[in-house]
Amino acid sequence: MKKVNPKQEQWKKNKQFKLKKKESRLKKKSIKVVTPDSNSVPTEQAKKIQKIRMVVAPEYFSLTNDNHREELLNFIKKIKNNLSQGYKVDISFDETRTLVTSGTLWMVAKLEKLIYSYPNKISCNYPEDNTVHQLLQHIGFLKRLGLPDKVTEIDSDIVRHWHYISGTTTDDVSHFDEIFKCVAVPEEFSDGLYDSMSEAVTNTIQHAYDDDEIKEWRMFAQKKDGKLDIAICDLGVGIPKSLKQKPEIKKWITSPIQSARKNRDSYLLEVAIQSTRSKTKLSHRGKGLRDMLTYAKSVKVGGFRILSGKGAFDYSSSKKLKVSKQFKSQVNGTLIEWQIPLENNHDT
Amino acid sequence: MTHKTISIAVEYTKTPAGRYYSDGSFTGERFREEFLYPALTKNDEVEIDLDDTLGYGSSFLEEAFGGLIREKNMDINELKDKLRIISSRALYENRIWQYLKDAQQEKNNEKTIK
Repeated sequence: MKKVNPKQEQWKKNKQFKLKKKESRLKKKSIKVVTPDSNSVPTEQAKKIQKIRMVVAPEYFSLTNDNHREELLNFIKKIKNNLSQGYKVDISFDETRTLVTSGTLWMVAKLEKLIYSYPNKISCNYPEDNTVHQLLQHIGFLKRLGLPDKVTEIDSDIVRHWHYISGTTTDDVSHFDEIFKCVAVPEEFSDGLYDSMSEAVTNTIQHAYDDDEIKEWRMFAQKKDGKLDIAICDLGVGIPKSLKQKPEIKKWITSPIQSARKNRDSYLLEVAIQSTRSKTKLSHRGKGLRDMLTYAKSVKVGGFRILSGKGAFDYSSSKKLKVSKQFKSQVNGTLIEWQIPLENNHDT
Repeated sequence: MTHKTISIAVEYTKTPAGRYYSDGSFTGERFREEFLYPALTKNDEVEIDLDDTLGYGSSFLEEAFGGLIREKNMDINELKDKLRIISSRALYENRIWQYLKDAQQEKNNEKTIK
């Protein structure tokens, strides 16, 4: 029988109660339809389009903790479902407090895609938390949701050193230079960092999308507590799925020996990182992920992480430890993350 | 004996990235087609200076150099005579020669199969 954690259960119940109270309060404020022709009766579809649904963003933007990941994925799913049913969505950031680099990047990527697909259908409030407000303003996210800048001076240390770059080709990697200059990465760690980052972008352009799709990638770099966190994200097919598309991998996965293990995204990530072959069957390709891991091993401190599908691969440079994890829920696309120390202090 | 030195940072870009022309503006394929291969065909010796860029991803280097054998039908022994790599990071030079060896091996394997 599965053990129930009473504290966790109570936390979940409290959360659900608070959310229901808020949503019920806000449903009463739904805007009624006003049509140009006062004699005509608005259709049900027209009424639906004018109604707004409030969706509350979670406290944590994180994909590496099971509960937080579940909440973040459900948040995006709720927004998408409401939009596809014809509702407008108003996002409340009032409960958001903690912005983990990779989770925040993925959230921004997903929402920007939805803003593009459903123009003028998504709005939000100014976040209650000052740091969250400053960050979402600093990266231009609030403006994209129709809110003018309200903070006159970005004074949060976390936010001032937060950089955001996006692109659809490898050309925008030229902006990585600005980050390296701002952040002053020590030479012993900077050698190889651009190699890995530019390779991650190249991998996105090469493998993440179909030929007729826009090959979007996004990057966050955050300087905090003497470390530099860098995350690069795409919303493409994901590494496990792209591996499964290769005929010889498909054949290997479907063979009965250890088939359950081979079907796990976490295991497929390990195969991708340690393999010399890529999605394209060509043996001169597919060295990128392996070289990224080699770089992480060479710096001796910090870390390297890949999140794709349901899988996660973590490497701790100081502990020389590789950990794979299989999550219950799926992240569409791929996130690659590095943590680099900015001081020559090897206590990381 | 003719000699040519190409500094990637000065003559091409400080931020090389990508494999094919379709990936972006400063890719490995473009460097090979427009700088490296023409220099190799016109000169007895070609030096490629890799310093002063931000760095090189494996896709860029592999396509630029491995592609000389794969796409331009050059031979590794010919390149051993003609090509010099200048880099303060030995890792890049080692990788380039490994990519050239791998490309030559693949080419030899294809000939054997035929």
